[in-house]
Parts: sequence; C-alpha cells; structure tokens
Amino acid sequence: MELELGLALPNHSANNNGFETENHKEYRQKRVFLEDHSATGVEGTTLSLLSWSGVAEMEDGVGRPPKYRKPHDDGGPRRFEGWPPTDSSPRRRRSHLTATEQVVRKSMHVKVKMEGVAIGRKVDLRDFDSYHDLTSTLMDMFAKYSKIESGEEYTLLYLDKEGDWMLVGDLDWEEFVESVRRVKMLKNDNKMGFRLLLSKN
Amino acid sequence: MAYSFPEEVLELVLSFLRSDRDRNAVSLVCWSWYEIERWCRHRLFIGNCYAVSPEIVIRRFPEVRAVEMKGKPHFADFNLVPEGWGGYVQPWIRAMAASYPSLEEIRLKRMVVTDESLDLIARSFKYFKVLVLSSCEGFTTDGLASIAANCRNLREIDLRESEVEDLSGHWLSHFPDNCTSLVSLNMSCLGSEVSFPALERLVGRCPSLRTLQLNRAVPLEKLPNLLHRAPQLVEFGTGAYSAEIRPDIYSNVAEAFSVCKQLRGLSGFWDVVPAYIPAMYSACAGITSLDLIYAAIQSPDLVKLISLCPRLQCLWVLDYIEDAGLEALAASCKDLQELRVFPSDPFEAEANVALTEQGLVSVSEGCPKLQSVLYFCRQMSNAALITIARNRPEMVRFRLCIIEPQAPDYLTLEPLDTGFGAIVENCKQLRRLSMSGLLTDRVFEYIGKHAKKLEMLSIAFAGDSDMGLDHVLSGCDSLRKLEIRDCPFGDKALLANAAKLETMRSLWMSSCLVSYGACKLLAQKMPRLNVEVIDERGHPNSRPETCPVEKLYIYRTVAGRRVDMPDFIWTMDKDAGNPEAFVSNGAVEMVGDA
Repeated sequence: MELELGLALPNHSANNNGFETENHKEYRQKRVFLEDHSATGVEGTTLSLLSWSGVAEMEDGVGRPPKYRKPHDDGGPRRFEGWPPTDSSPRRRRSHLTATEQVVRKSMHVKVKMEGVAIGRKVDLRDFDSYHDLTSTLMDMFAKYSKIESGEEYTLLYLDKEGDWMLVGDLDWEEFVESVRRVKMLKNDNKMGFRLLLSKN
Repeated sequence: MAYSFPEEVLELVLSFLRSDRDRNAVSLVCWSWYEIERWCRHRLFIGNCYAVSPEIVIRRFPEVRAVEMKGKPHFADFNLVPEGWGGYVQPWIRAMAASYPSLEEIRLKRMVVTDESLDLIARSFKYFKVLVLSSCEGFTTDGLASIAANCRNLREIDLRESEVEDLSGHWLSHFPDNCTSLVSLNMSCLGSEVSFPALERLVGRCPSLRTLQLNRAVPLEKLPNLLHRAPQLVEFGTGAYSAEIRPDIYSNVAEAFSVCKQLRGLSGFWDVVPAYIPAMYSACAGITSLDLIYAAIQSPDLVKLISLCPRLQCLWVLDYIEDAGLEALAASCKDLQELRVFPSDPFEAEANVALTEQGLVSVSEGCPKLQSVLYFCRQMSNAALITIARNRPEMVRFRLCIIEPQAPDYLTLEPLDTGFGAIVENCKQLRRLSMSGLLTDRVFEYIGKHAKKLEMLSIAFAGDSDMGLDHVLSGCDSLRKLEIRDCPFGDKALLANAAKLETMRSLWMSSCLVSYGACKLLAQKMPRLNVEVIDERGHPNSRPETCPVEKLYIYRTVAGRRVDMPDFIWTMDKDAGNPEAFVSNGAVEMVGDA
C-alpha cells in the first residue's frame, strides 16, 4: 500500500475524515491477521514499536501496533526509554532510591535475587574484594539452598545508584561496590555479558 | 457622533485585566486598544520560548516587569528529549537586560540557564525580586551566589526540580547582612550542605519569610533552630528527616513544629525515620498541602498521619500508601482537591505494594472536591474508570499511568477504551488527560467527540491507526498541547489536520510513523509552523522519504526557524513563495497563549 502524501483540506463533514476507507480496512485486516496468528500459538514475528524506524517495516507501508503481550517472566518489565513517566532527573532518582534503599548506606548489604528462586539472599559487600570472590560465593549460596540445574548459565545484573539495571563487570570492583544497590541473576537465554556457570560441586 | 474615549480611562480599565486571554482579545478590538494594551501589559507569559523572539516581544511590550517562559517539551522530563535540544534563556536575558531595566520577576520552566545568565540578571535588574527556576539546568551554585550577592530586594528564589551543579554550599553566604526581604527560599534540589550559621542568620533576619524549603543536607536536629527563627512560616520543607532516636531531639523538633501556627504546607522528609513522624503532628490540623514523595513511610504510619489532617487539599505521596491508606484519606480528608500517587519501585513488574485501582476509586467516592489526579498503578479496569468518572464529573486533570505498557482491563482483558471514554464523557471540564493501558482507536473517537475543553493530552503505546490521531485533531476544540510516543500514527492524520496545528502550542511525536516526506510537505504548506525533526541516526536525507522520523516537534511560531539547534535536529524548509490556497484559522496571538 502506498502512503499517499497528499494534503487534503480539513473536511470534517466527510464521513471518512479525509481517509481512504480502503486503507483503513486494510489496516484492520492486517491487525486481525496478526491477532489470529498469535492465537494459534504460532511464534510469528511480533513487530515491536521499537523497530518501526527501520526501513524494512516501512516497505509494507503499514504500521502495526504491537499485540498485547503478558509481561515476561524473566523478572523484569519490558523496558522503554522514558517509561514509566516518572521524573528521571538525578534528584528524583535519588529520591526513588531512598524510598527503597538508602543511598547513603550505613552497611554494604545488598539483596541478591536469582530468577526462579522465590527467596532472595543478602550479602555484605565488605566481605568481598573482587568480582570473582563475589560470584563464587553467590554460586555457593544459591546452589546450597535452592534447586539449581547444574550447567545453567546466568547473567548477573546490578541496580546502580541511578536506578538503572546494568551488566556486572564493566566497572572496577571498587566503583562497582560504590554503585551497586541490588543484584539479580537471570537465566541466560541470550549469550551476553557476565556468565556464571553453576555446578553442584 | 465621533467622540474619543480618554486613553487614561481605558488604560485604567484594562489594568484590571489580569488574564492573558482577555488582554489578547482586547488587543484585537482596534488599533488604539492594541496600543493601549501593549503599553500596560506588565506580565508576560510565553508558553514556548521559540514561538516568538525577544525582539518581537520587546517591540510590542515595552513596559514588562515580569516574565514567565517555558522551553523544552514536557517529555523532556522523561529523558525523551536529547541533550542539547535547546531552550537557552541567554538571548532573552541579554535582550531584556537592555530593554527592561525595571524587570522584577523571571520564572522559567525547562530551560537552560547558565551562570552567565544568572550573573547578567543579577547585575542588570536593579529591582529584581523573584527568580523561579523550575526543572531548569545548566547553572552552578556560583550563579546563585551572584544572585544572592547582587539582588538587593530579592524576595523569592525557588529552584524547584532544577539540576544545579553543586560546587559548594557557600552561595548562601553571599546574601548580604542587610538582606531582609526574603519571602520564599526553595533550595530542595541542591545536594551540598550550605553553611548552617549563614542559613540561620538569613532566616532570622527575614521577618516576611513564608516559604522555606531546605535541602536534604540540613539535618533534623537543626530544624528547631530554623523554625524558632521563622514561626511565621506557611510552607516548610524539611531536610533529611532522620536522626538518632533521642528524646531530646524528638521533643525539640515537636516543640518547634508547635510554634509554627501558620503552617499550611509541608514537604521534604527524606530518609524518614518513622519514630519522628509524630513530632510533626501538631502542624497537621492546619495542613492543606503535604508532599511526601521522598518519604518512605509505610501505610499504617501514613494512615495515622493523614487522619490528623482534615483540611488537606493536596497530597503527593508514594504508593506505600496502598489502598488502605487511600481509603483512610477518603474518609478523613473531605477537602481534598489534588492527589498524586507515585511509584516507589517503577521498574519492577510485580507490585511491591498493595495499591490497585481500588485506592483511586475510594478517593473518588469519598472526596467530593477531587479535581486533579496523577496515579501510578499496576492494574486498572473499565469498571473502575467508569465509577471514578461518575463519581467525579468535575474532574479537571486526570493522569493515569498503568506501569506495564498496553495493559488491558485486568478483569475482562479488554482495552480500556470504555473506561477512558467514560472519563471524557462525564468530566466535561476536563483540561488535561494522560492515558495508558491497552487502547484502540475507539478511545480517540470518544475523546474527539466529548473532550471539548481538553487542552493537553498525553498518549503512549495506544491506538491502531491514523484514525486515532484524526479523531483527536479534528474533535478536540480546545487542544493546545499534544504529546504522543510509540503510537501507530502517521502521515495521513497529520497532513489532513495541518491547519489544526496552528491553533495549538505544540505537538510532540516520538517513535510513531510520520515519514520524512510528510514532515517536509507539512512545513511547506504551513509556513507558520516550525517542523523540527529530531533524529540521532543522522540526516533524514540518508534514508528514504517514507522512512519514519525518530522524533518530531511541531510548534507555531512568528519567529521563524530557530538557529540554536544541535546537529541532530533539522527544521523542515518552508517554501517561501508558495502560499497557495492554504488559509489558517484566525489571527493567532503568539504571546500570552503561545
């Protein structure tokens, strides 16, 4: 479908408001098609809003709204820039953090959650002096108290003092300790970042 | 019979007109009224700093004493406007320094203010009294020092939500010892410690001080020193509300609060230690405004606190309040007009608190004067929205953020079209609406049909097609500001409603489907709009014309294209010699309702 870039004078008395009803039907049909697809459980390519700016999508000439999907089970919501629309200035970030965590920490305890494990752990960062130290302790902790499949790979993430979830490993250990507020271990479906190989030794 | 109405009389009559809308209307009656009005307009409101130029403003209004101006689009608050976008106040300050020697008040929102600008203000305006910098950035505490040192008659310095590079707290010490004029000081956004003795002395020697909002660095133990020196305070913002739990500190704080019999507004409360909350109880009976968004106070403590504030009109709180707390609010605070509930943990999918749509429904049932709502939650239903709409038909501002994008009615899994439809249909005075959740084109049909007083609309992850946008642009008669992100709205609706855009202050669209070609076409047909394409992927010429732009900001202007843009923003060319048959609607007043 060609996108017509004509300029119609605003004509509100027309019942199609200046649109081609055909195209609108096409829109609707395409949307229904998408919906039917996912209803049968077929893993179709769901066009996410984020990929609209690519050229490929525009060849269709149609923008399809993303089908509603339930939130992922990976422990995090879908992330969009600037969403939810809470004020993102550093000052507000600090304030949100203080609501859940003290920015000025008296201790170095951080919560650690592992995906798939209901109960979290708490570690004192002062007990460690390197990433290796931290990760091997975490491996031991979770392997000991939870049923972990051996050979599972996990990605280690941390919540920094600005409220963002980041991959562990980019900063110096000291900088990391200063910045980290929480730690999360996600099952590693895509091969990215810092991986922990868990074994039941 | 020809008679002339004495100008002086007319000027006197016009001086009673405060509203810009009225003044704008008056100035369109005839040339002599235009002339008289422009000489006696002393307060300027410029809603978009790029809608008009300093030169045009100064030429028309020679006797200005107060300026209020806004820069960046609202979505800048959520990081959607890239760094370097613009909104620089310096050209304005330079121009006004030369032409408005009697300028007394400057209020800016979302603008870039430098130390140079602050210094120029401090040195150029002998009678300068009021500086309000709301969500501004670009300056340091050095700029504040200059204001403090040089403005002999400073009454108000309010830095709300601004990002200030905090070089040191010494700026406060620059207030001269003979400065006694301060009425309002809001330094809550600052990080570093100010010299406490200097603050104490300043507060002590300003008998008219009514508003004092401290920053987090001021410790709780020191509060009594300040409150005792300013028992006349009406609005007070604490610093960190935590200290070792000691009876002497507690009783000092409690006593200090009891001394301030005029307190109507409280804020601050960083790092709250629950044991100290009762210390402020004596102030509660008179409190009309409570801002607890920095306070991690749990629901039971909040319930107790709120039940002591029967005169509360405005509450800003975190979702720790939970449904139970909102029920208590509904029971105790029958004067409540404005409620804002912010998320304590916005990036977690699962709720960390027991706050649902029910809390808002309770408040809508129990608070007959409720007219302004901002509510973050994780679930909503059409039934709840319909109930809220029916309970509160006089709602003026309704902003709902369901944290998961496109979340449907959690009971029926349907879109929330009928719920929001009920809001716009019942609330005929609605001026501002923000929507979220799963929404189809249908909701926009309702909005276009019913929301005739709507002035500002915020849309995200909503709609199916251009019909949605078309409904809004063609139906919302009072629309001034429209901001859209991540919606499948494209060229058709925009181009078909091009003329509408000249009746609005601005339109923001990001992650939508408007093509580069359409942007160019729009700019050519509507020379009084600036059509600005923001695209960090490089010049749109490097991609096909049909390719959607990343972000688009369109606003009406009499100042032509702006020249201070960074290299990822392009103003589409206006075709100079191509007016054709395009007629825009009515005379457009750029200043006063820009």
